[in-house]
Amino acid sequence: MRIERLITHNYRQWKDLDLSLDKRGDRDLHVFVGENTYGKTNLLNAITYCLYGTEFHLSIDNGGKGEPPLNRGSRQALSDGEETSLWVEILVRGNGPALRFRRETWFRKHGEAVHKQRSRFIVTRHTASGNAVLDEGPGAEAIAERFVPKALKDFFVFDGERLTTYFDQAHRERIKAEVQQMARIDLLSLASDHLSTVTKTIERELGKANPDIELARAEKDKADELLANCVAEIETIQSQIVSAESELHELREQLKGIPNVADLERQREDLKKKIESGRAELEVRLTEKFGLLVEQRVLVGLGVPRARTEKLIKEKEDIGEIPPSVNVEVLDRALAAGVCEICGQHLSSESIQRIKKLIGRNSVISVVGAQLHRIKPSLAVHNERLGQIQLRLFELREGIAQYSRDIADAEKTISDIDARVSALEGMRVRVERRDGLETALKDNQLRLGMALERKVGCEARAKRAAEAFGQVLSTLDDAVKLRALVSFAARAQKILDRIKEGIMLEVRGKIEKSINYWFFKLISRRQSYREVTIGDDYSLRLIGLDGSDCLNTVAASEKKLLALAFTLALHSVSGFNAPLIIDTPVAETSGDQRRNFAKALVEVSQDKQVVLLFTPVEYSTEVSSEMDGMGTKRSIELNADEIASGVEVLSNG
Amino acid sequence: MSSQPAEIGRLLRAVKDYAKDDQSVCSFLEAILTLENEYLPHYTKVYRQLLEQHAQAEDQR
Repeated sequence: MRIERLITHNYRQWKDLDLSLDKRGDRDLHVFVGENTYGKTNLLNAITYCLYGTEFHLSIDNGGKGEPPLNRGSRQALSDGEETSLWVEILVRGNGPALRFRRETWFRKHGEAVHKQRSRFIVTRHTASGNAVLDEGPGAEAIAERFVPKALKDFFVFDGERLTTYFDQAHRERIKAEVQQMARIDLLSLASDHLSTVTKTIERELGKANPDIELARAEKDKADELLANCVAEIETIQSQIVSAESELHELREQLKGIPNVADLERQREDLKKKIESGRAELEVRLTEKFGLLVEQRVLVGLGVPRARTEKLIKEKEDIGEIPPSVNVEVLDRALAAGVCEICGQHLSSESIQRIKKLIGRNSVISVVGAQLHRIKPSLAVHNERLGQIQLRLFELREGIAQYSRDIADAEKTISDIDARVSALEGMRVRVERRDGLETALKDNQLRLGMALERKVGCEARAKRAAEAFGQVLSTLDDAVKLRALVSFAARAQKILDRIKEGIMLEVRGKIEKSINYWFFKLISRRQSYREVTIGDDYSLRLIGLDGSDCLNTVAASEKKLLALAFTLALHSVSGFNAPLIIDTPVAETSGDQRRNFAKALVEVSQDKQVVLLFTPVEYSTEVSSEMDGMGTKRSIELNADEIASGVEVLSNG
Repeated sequence: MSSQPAEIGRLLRAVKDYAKDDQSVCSFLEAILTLENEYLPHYTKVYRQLLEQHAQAEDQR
């Protein structure tokens, strides 16, 4: 089935649209390019409005504030009390005769407001013989359901944004529900439920005929009810576990790399201690440095006289006056004793005269020389001390600089931590939520284990009760007819259950095969993954080369491609040959992935009608190089008064 | 448009596969699935009638 024509009157921006979506060549591709607010999304809305009476894609800027879908210009032109209508018509054709869906809604103006009056939905079936048959009300709705069931519309008419967040939520349940929808298990479930209601009525009638039967029936009903409650409880717990796991995963991703506030506060305390001890060390070094600087100043101040003294000593050493050659003190003692201290002989008068002469000549020189000789080592010590002080001052400067840097770094880190802690106040809520979920998850896992154990008991009791009921029933001679009905219904129920299981298995297998086909066609890094699987619990896994599941770590753009692959797989398995209509299909993809996206949709257009609505930015080179010439390209323009949009064909493939 | 859309056709084929040894149940399920697809409002009554009709037909056989 494909949409041949879309006609609107007074519907939002589409005041008067008559759009033919003719197929050109072997591809059924229709590309619309228009700026935001020009009416792309309202083309989607026009389709769902016509088929289901509901607009599913309303944003706040796009009529989501609750305004009626009546064109703004037409609304303004209405006088008080005047009535007008809008309508949307879709002409659909498959292999058989054409179908025309038409929804018309009337509005009346009261004061400034416009109120909906009534609505009419008609389907016109054009038979092969050329007659037109009109259906209205539930009959018309049933026909719309056969074109695209309302429950499945999200797979046929949707916003590309939906693909971005597709696997963000608890996807296991969603996939299971969607596989069930695609398999139309709902029809089997409805049949099963209705059959069960009828059977219970018949059993109650049987109970009225015999007290034993009533007793067994009551026990059977009770056991069935307990089992059903237990199963429902297990499903609820499982669903809570799945959504807690999913939310936990999301929270852990958000909190990844973000330490919790308590950790940051501990780190802050450690840094403060480090700063305090650093400041103490700094103080010690600064005091020592001050002392050394004073000492150095004194030593440097003595530098000139010291140099002169050293020079003098050097000169005197050079002329042999230092160390002194005559020991005047020894000579003085020899004169006083009249005896030579060296040989012990008495001094002659001649020797005494010579000694007196020698003393007279050398006394001054020798005293100074001896003193100079004595202070020479002290001068060397001063020099050495000055060197030591300079070395120590260098070390102290290094240490002081290092401690100052450490303190400054720690202070900066503390200031960063303070900024983060204040920014993390919002995170604190998430941390608490994560902790709460982890506890709840543990509790639920425990509850699940207990409920599963209880279920075994309930199943045994239900089985016993059913057997007992069957036994009592077999002993009853009366009410043969009712007994036959119960037994017949039980057989039918069993077969329905087997069909449900079988179809789910078959559909799941087909979807898995198809999703692999599309995913590996769409992604550019084909070598990075081994396969996509849908497990017994309906969890979708993207298996990497090492065999691990990469779904949670894969890039957002690849996740979007996986969601598109899943959608295309559901399409091929659904059996509904309805068009695929996507608004902003390639938003948030780029480069090769955008090209692959476009390529895949061109391929899909060989089998079914594909309608794509792009902004000019999205219809980039990667897209246009794949799509130009492959179908019909149209531009969407908004009139100068901004109350009516129009479509202009740019190219026909 | 055919009176039996694709998914109903598939369900009916499945019924035939799974209930092949039980012709009465098979025709009963085919009938109720077709009816479900038509969104009959008074299903309980219709189910009861169908059930009686098929169980009776089975008895007569």
